[in-house]
Amino acid sequence: MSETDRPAAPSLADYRALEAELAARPWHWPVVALAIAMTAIFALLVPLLPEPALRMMDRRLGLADLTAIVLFDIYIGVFVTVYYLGCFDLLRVWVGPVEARSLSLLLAKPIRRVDYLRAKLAPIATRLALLGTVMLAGKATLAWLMAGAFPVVAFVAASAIVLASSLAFVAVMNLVFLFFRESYAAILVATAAMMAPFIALTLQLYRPDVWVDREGARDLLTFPANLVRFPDAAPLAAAIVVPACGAIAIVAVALAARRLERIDAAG
Amino acid sequence: MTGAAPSPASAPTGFPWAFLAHETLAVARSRRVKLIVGLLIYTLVAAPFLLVTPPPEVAEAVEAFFGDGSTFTVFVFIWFDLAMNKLAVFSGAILAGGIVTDERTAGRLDLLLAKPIRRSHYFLAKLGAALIVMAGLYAILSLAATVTFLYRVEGFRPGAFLAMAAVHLFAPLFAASFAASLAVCFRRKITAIVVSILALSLLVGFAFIGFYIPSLYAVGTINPFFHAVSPIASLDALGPLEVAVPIVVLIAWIAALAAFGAWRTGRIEVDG
Repeated sequence: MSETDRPAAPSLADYRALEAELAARPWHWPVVALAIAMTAIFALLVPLLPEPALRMMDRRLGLADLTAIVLFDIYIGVFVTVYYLGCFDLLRVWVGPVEARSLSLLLAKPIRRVDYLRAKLAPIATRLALLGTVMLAGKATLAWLMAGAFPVVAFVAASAIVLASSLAFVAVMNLVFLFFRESYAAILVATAAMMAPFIALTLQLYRPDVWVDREGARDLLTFPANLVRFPDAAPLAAAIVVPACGAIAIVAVALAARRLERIDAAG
Repeated sequence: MTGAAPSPASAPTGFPWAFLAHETLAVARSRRVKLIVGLLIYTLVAAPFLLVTPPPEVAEAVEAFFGDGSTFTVFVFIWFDLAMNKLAVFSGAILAGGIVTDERTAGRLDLLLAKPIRRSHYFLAKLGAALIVMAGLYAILSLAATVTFLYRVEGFRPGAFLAMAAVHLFAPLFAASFAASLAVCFRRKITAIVVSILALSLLVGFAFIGFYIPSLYAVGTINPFFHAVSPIASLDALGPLEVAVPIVVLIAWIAALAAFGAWRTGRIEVDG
């Protein structure tokens, strides 16, 4: 057989295309549809809450009306949903193949580990961005129709912050997951880590005395209530936070690649 | 060959108690239990700091929900809603969400089903082990919480707290039974655990809906997590009925789920 008759060897591009195909998980779109529907349910239920509950949200979190409460729910809902979708997707990168004892086989292929990581992570990030954007658009449409109008520019800026920070968090968790070899342990760690972004918010709700004389830090950290309370500041915040999240994600992926290069896949 | 393989003819009919004991020890020693214990200790240490002086708006809201806005009721509400309900979902799903489906994903199901043990017994023994460990962890946490909160939380009432915990203990057991029974309906364990956590999170999210919005009280009682938190509305006058009725309801849910899971395990098809 001559050289030209041989079938072409699978290329890295083929592998990337395969990973992009496999990144589509069966639960992605049902979860997005459910998350969007939850905004409608939430907008219907909030007006039925007793007055003291609404007063608590106003005084503690600065959510003065139904629109503000629904926007807050959208930001927190999209952040958490994208994060969890991402963490479950990440199980395909390291923990899952380790459990299935297929990682050494995968990495024995003529492929650099950094290429393996890139082929796995790029479609996950792309899909998460798509799912998050659809979720935000669907939720925003329902919020607009059911809870009232809101400033569009501020919403877009706040949405960019929510999506970018959630994706950066997922990138960091990818690095953390490289230290685990069991999917259940990884899910538990992801759940524990999930508390971190909302510590300031929880303190504002139950221990506001902690923030006395620290109002600046409080306004900066009480994510995502601050995105609703300060719509005018959202575009500037997005201009700073989105690139910062990009940088965090790049560093996290670089560190993950470095660890993956040094790790013993068979161990 | 693909087909629902019968249990081996020589399968013993008695319940495999030794296997249950072995599984219980194996689960108790697993890394995931160590992580759950870490989460529980963190909650135990952090909760009193967070909940020691509730702002007046929070107390007013709690009073509107449960007819009592005392510091103790606020503490109980936040402890069971913010901490225990979430831990129930994740701990339960993590401990029991891989029963049978772990073996199935790893391609070891045929090996497992060749053992001289009834499929339904295998499922029930694995679920039983997860429930025993979960109940043990929850009981130890609740006792430790009672001892420490006596000193750290003003107006803490150990009797009412323990009665509430005795009912809520069945929330993670329900979560574990739900996750285990759902897991045997899926081929892939990650799909099963995603669906479990999603469904359980929705149920937990609506646990208090009957208290938040009284017109939805009747609908709210469909939710097992409602029963797990229902004694909160009568903390001042907790009698045997307020504790026993929700426990019976939750045990019925757990038994129904266990029966379904055991039946479903008997019908799993093995890919040859």
